[in-house]
Amino acid sequence: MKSSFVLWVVLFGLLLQQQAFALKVDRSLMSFSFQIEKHPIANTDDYSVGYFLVCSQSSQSLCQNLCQNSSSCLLNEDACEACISSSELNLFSLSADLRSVYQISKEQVNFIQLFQGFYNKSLMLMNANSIFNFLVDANDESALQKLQAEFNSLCPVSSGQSFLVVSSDPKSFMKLAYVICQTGSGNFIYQSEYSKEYDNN
Amino acid sequence: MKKSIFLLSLFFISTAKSEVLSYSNKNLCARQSAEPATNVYLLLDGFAPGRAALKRALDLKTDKSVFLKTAWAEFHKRGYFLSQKIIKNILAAKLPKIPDSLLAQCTSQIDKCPEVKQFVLEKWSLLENRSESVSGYQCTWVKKTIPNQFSTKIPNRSDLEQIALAYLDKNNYIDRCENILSISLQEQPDLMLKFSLPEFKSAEEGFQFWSQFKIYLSLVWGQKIKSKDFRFEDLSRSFSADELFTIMADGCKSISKPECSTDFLNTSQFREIIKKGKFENNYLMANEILKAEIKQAKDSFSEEGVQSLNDPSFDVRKQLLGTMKFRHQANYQLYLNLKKLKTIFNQKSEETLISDITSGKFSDSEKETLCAENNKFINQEISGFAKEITSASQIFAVYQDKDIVNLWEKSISLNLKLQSFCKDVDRNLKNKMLNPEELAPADKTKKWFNSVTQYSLPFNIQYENAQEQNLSSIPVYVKLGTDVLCSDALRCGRNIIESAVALYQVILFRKQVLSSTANEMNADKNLSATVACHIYDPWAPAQLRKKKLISDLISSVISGVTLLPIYLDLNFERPQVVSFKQLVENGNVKFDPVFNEDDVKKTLFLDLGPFAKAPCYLSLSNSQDLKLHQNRYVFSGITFQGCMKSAEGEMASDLLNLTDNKLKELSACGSCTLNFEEAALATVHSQYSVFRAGLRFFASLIYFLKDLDNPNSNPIEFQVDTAYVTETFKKYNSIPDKCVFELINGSQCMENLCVSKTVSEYERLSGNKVESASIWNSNGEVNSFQTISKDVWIKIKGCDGEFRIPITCEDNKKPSFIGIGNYLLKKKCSKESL
Repeated sequence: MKSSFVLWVVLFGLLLQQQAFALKVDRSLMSFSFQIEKHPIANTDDYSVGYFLVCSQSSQSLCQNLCQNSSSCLLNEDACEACISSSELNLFSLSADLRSVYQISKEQVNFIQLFQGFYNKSLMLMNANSIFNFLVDANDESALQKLQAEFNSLCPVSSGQSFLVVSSDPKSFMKLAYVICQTGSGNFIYQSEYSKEYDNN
Repeated sequence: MKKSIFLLSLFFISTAKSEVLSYSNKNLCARQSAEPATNVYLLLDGFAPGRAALKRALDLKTDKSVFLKTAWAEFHKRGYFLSQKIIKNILAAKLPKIPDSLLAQCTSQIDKCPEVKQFVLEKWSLLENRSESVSGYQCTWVKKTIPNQFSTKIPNRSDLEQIALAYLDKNNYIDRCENILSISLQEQPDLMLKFSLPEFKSAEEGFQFWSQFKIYLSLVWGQKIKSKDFRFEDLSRSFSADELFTIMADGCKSISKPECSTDFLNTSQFREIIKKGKFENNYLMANEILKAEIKQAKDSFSEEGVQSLNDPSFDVRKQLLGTMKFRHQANYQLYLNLKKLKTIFNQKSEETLISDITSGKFSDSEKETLCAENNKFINQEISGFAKEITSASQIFAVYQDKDIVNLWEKSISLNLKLQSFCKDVDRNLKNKMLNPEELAPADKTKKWFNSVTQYSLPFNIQYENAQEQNLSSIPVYVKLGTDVLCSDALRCGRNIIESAVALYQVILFRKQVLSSTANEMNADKNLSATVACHIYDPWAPAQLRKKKLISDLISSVISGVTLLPIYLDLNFERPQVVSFKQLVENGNVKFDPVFNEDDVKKTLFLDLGPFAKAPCYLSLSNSQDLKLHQNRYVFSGITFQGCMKSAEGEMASDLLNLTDNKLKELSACGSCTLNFEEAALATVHSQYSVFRAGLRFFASLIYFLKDLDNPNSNPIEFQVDTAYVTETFKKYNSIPDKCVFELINGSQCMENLCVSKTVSEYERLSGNKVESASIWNSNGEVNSFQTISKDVWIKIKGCDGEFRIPITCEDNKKPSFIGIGNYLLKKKCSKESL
């Protein structure tokens, strides 16, 4: 299964690189792809919520290859195995220093490597209201809105709801890897790296 | 006087025997500290699950309030269920010991050890679903703290009244743990459980048990139980155990094996910080470790004796919750300072910083302040703190984060290279000191400097308050986003030291901050650190207590600096640093005439060992002149308290003035201080026997104070039978003063202790209830100096007539003999069953 996925990635990657190239010219072409949604996980009575990839007709092969379901895939739950702790220092930068510690690539990246990360569970999605972000008080709506605005402000394009993609690898746990900016005309994916001021290497 | 209480018996067995609260005196408590705890409180903190629940409610667009209360209830159920299952299965040997070979591969973060995790989860999966029954195991749900439950003193009249009121209303205070499982909404985020376990076969086994418990709990916690009985699992299992659990031994016993090491000592230090408030406001260095313990040891000898505790309403729940706050604050400090160091070193290389500092146009006082801080941080010749942190590299290396190690090493390296620059600055300053009018006012030092130095100073140094700086108003040397991290190279240098010190702070508390297992905390009354480091030796007071020393010593021990019992006969013109040994050899040390000089000398050298060679920090402080330029003296290594002995023998602390001839006739008093920094750094530097030797010295000073009459020299246990307390309370509607003595001796309130103890003993052994009792001296003589044979006549409930119990008892003491006949013990009267 895995090898077929890799193969698929290679093929799809080639295709996308061309597309990405074309996309620079016309961003609206991006709308072909997919939607990210956060909603309750069906068939569970435990109030579990997850982040889903919802594929359109044009992108059903993406879903199909990722989870053998042509319409949608659970990328990750909004939960983990005893992973949240204040000793995970990257959490502080996600809620306090997002914009000074990280910088976002100017160009979009192709999303093959992104979905490869979800496929091998080395990446996790989160939004402003994620329980991962436990340093932010959810009872304070203005704090939540501020955080969402902070997330959105990372996007070079105007985004109503952006998602952060963070590393779930223990060595760089919760380090920001990508930002997915959802707009009315589609999704835009940007890679994240440490800002030059913070880490030049 | 610190006393201890712990709940000994089972909480909710409603037999006539009810419950006995035990209070250990200090000596007993100290002895018990070496034993593993069998009564333990487990606090579940619902803060993180609560926040998660609010977010989940928002996602599900459901009512926040009900959802939150349900989430808390579910978190409590899960917490209770898993912790009791782990405890029972370890006791029943169904969950085996984790092999040392596996644990050896792990640092403090047990969840990042795949081998241990695999072992634990495999054993966990093999457990059967049925509940193990273990004899002697008991779990109590502590809904509300019972008055005096965590108090550290023997109860007085009003405490007994509170105990009575609580027990009359028992159901509001305690409940069966099983009942937690049937609660569907919880109003409170936190839950407190008390586990009572059977005695362990050996101390080793007991300490092992608690360590296993913590590891199993933290690794099993993240797993899904996948049972319909447990819902909302995401909201609790997603959090690491260190965010949720704190464990504390009840009474005087310990959870971890006490040892005289920094790691262990910090656990006890931890509660002091929590009491003080914010982590970042407390630079608590190794040199403050044990201060509280020493103070505690001192308190036990205070004049006020038994009644001297003024903190009865101490809120343990709050303190336990404080552990989480402490961790958040400490981790935030770690993050913040790593970020600063990383950014500065990212933008400026070491070479650039050094050249910008040394060639920059800075004022003398700016340079002097930087160098004062540099000296304190790195110059081992004059700073105990600098010695202390040399061992930090090893500590940092254990922590696997390369970033931290790297940034720490860069900070050290930079400061080492600044030393030659600072030597010039120092030389320049020393020259100016000869003409104090040339000195400009000193800059304010950083807060860490103030804190680290303060222990050896009798005055307060001014320190600089950290300020948020705005990009638009100041020059920028290093910035991150909109934050200006430093406006020039010199300030960058100072910020680097400050941040490095903060890293050191957190690493010093790594056991509390960076661990991913349940937090551990010692109760106030726990004396393990004190005993482990031989500050208090409950077994050996006899050989120490005949010595006498001046009481001034005590206050100096507590301030972290020990004044030796000597006077220095020095007419020094200029401050100088000399070692104690040197002073003795030069004949400069005069011993207090109340001591035999030879004996004191011998004792001191014996006790001090290597410390005798530690430099005395001569202080010339407190005169107005010096106060102005205090920082300069501080960094020149001439810190410390000075006082003068006048011709009349009076002590004065503010007379030193180098230029005043009159003062030359006086000798400086007790002024060779052994800086506590020197003692504390030995914990990590060399064998801790050295450390112990030093502490032994302090301890002996404490012991000199009081002699044979001290009740704490012997282990004593007081017991309060809650049934007797409530009974007395019901009878009088209060606790009469005359009853207190009997009640704290585990007896009923009756005519006198001889009677009440006899009756209580009879009731305990026979199960019968005594209606009334009276006492007769059998030989009719009263002689308070001899033990006396007496008869207690009791009327048993349900029986006709009175029965005699012969006793041997002095008035108002416990009987030394109670002769209860077998027939009386087995006495069953027909009316009783009605």
